[in-house]
Amino acid sequence: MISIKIEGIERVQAMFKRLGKAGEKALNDAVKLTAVESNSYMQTQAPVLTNRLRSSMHVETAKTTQFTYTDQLGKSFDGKFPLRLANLEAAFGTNVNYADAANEKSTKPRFKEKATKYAADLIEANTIKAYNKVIDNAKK
Amino acid sequence: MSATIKEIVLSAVNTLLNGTIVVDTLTVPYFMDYFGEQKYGIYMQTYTQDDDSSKHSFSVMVSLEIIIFGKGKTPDFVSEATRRVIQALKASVNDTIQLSGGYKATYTTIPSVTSFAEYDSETVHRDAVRVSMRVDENTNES
Repeated sequence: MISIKIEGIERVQAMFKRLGKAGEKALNDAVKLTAVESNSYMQTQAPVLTNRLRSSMHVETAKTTQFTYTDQLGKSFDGKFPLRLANLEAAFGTNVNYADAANEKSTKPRFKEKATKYAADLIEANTIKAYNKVIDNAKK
Repeated sequence: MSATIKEIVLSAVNTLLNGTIVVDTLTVPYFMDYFGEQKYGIYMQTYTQDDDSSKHSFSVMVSLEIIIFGKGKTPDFVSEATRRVIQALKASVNDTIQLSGGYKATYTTIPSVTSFAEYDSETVHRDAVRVSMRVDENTNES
């Protein structure tokens, strides 16, 4: 299984919390957006044979209760991560048992590391954008 | 035992898509189970369900990713099938479809489509349609 958790660091969370409910929602949205964009990126970097690995890659938040996926032959799988996420956290990745091996040895290796770096670079930009949007809306 | 939300939604999608998508006089089949090696068709690739705590009454958020594929078919064939799928699902933001069990689904996003072309002994064109909806209980408003 490969899962990458994105969370807002404490002082960033504190900044948003000072903005009230709108701030908390904005940070939650920024974290989720980062996970969604990073997951899409990971899907482009992963090898494809039966499409099972790529289909299994998805995003979860504290509210996610189910995720199922199908490969390109129609076989269905339960893809839910065995994670308990808190508010202001999101995770993306795959629960297939050969994901780590594919990450190491496939024709397109290191997709986990590439996606982790992509997420790390993106979270700051998404967080700043979200913060500025809350401030701008408060001024209206 | 009453049906789960997932069963209700999958059943509704099956009703809307099974045998209803016709392109160039070909009926494009909707597969609910294992279908093996098929030349063309439609299937649900992912189903995600999230709690929706923003409302006081029962509500869940459901996201679907539906694949329309054609092996050895033209991109136009697949994109026309995709267009008809979106139409059959009545997938337009804020539009509502009735489900069984006293539920309704309201689309919360416009459908997004991603197109792929892959090679597997011959070229496979694949469209991924993503829709999100909020599933609520039907309420009698007078």
